Amino acid sequence: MIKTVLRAAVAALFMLTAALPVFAGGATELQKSTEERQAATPITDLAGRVVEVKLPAERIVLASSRHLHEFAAVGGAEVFDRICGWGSDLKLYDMDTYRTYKEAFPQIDEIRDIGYHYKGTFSLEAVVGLAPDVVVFPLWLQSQDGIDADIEVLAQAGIPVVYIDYYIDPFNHPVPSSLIIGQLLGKQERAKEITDYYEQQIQVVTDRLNECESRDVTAYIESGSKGSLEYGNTYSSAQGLGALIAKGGGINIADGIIQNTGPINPEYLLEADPDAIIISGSYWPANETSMRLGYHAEEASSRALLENFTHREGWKFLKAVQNKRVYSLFHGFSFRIYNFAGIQAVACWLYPELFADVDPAENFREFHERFMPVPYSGVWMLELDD
Amino acid sequence: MKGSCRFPTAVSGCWNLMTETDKKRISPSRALYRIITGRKKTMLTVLLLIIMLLLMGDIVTGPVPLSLKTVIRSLFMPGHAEGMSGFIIWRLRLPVALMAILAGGGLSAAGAEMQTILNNPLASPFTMGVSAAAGFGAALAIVLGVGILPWAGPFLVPANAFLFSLLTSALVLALNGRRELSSETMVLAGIAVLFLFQSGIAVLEFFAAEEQLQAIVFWLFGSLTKTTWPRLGITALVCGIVLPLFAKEAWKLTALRLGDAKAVSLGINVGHLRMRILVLISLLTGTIVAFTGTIGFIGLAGPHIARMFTGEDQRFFLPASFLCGSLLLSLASILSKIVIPGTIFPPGVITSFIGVPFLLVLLLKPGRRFR
Repeated sequence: MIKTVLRAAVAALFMLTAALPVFAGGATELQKSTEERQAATPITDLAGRVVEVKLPAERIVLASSRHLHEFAAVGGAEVFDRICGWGSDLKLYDMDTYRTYKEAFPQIDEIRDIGYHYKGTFSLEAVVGLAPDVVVFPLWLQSQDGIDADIEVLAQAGIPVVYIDYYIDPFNHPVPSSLIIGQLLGKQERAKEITDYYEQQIQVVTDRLNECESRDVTAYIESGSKGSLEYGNTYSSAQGLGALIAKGGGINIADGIIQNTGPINPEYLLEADPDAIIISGSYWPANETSMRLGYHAEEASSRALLENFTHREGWKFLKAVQNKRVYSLFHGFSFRIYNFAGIQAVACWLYPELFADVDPAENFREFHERFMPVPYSGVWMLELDD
Repeated sequence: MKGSCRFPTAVSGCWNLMTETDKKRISPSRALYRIITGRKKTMLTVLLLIIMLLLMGDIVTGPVPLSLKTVIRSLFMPGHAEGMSGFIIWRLRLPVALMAILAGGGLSAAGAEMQTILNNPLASPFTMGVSAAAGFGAALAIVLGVGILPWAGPFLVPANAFLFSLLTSALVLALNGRRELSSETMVLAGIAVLFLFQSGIAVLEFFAAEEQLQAIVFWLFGSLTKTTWPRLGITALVCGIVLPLFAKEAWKLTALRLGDAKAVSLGINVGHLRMRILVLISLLTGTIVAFTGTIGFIGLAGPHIARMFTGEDQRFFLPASFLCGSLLLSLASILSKIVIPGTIFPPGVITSFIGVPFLLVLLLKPGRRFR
């Protein structure tokens, strides 16, 4: 009895495996018909892959819906009619942005949710079902097991995948990524306008820092998501917010201590005694004392939250606290198209004399009003009161 | 056969129905045996049928609405497997649906044998720390990247997870070589290995970049959606090799449940059998875990549910365990697509949610005694 069952099961499975090439054959058919439909243009993406995409892409899927900022900047208001599906991460991690955009573009609620890789909810079938012209993956997805197989399946369905990146390398990748978005949307000129503006704003910082001889200001940067009662993650210069310190000309006290990211040992912080402390802010509703910045932040209440951080155990001994050099910076400046504003803010805080004539908050407002399709509001960077 | 206290009444009923010639031909105990095995066979057939239905249900559910008719036509009629629906059914849904059956069944069968060789109802395929070891291997591959196994290509993460999962049984075998291990010592050694690799994962998580950390967490979560035909093929191959080898030892394993001393008196080399089965368990579990990540609970609950249907006789207990595991994970796979339409809820979470109540109900049922 048992042997018969097992034999039957094994035979069935072998047959299924053997039939594999047949299914692959069916897929090639599908691909061919797509190719015939329209000539495709090769695009070199941020993973160095050359992908053929039918341009301009009218139906776009974003694996990470937080790429909305970049697509909105390059594509303007009409981009929301071309994004047909996106990841769940915007609603999960960035309600502020979601609310702001929903007010201006109620149709974003109609965009199909395809799940999110990091939550394990991503549905390949939902993407295939939308029959998009292109799927945009963030470069950080590359470290996921099985991602290449997903791309392979999509390719067989005639759906190209393009990697873009504003996070892994926030200095070298934003410009080519924005240019790719321009290509996808058929808005190359607009993309060029944005990257020119961006490069010029970055140059303000790099040029002056290159001329500056003494770049010896030390800084500590912490994610304000955990609030003032618990130490949040800090970052080495290799990652995220830590890279802003490096680009802003500071010496990151986490370098050599933290490999990439993790909470600092409070005792080490006291010992290192940095010249400046920067706490990142965003909207983290899970934690009441978390630092709040962004579209819906208000200056007075956010400053009170920042003040709380300086009351941590032992912080009164830190010279940054004594000298009131404790700042707050919007968390998203480490991975958005307008990260230049974050770099400028850090540079201004670390070297106030060198950048006395630069107003990062004003520059950000200008960028936002010129390129983003929603009204500017809120607070994005903050200093303690004198 | 402690679960069989209901049978005597059934037997007397059947006995009364038998013709006089039948009664002369077979003894009452022989008849009882036939009825019991007959019931068990029926039970297995019913389970198999339910799984077939679930498999169909799994292929029909998904974010793209496809009718049962389309699915059946695409599956069974040649020439209808083309276009979008054919692609979705053959490339996306079928491998995942079959993987649910294989992975669920394989983990449950591995759990059944682990409970048998360790004579411990708390044992599962992960008792020897296989899941943590595989997780460590996967995390290592994610953090260090392609460098460690340059030939592995897209199989890098699963290949490394598999290698490390085999390390656990190698370790136990090495210990066993020095002194024959009792089942208690093996359980303790397994727990030690588990903690060792969990700490290893924590160390890697400390050094990992944020996106790598997320990739590790996601991997540990367990997921069926990474399944491709080649991955399914390898899993099928390993199941096809290991399960018949389990089946070959069915009588000896049944005897093992009487206790080591009795098994030895029946002429079984207990230590040798235990090690052989342990290697097979690690091979099976390691393969499945390498491709799906940790899908917990099935390996523990599947065998217990099966035991209540079939008792300890391995000829029935082993296939029943496989089928119960398949059933649980297949059901979980369907639910994972229904809970939040359009996205996928991690099936590992769902298996616990549906498995725990089911198991508890069976455990508390009057007349059933848990061994």
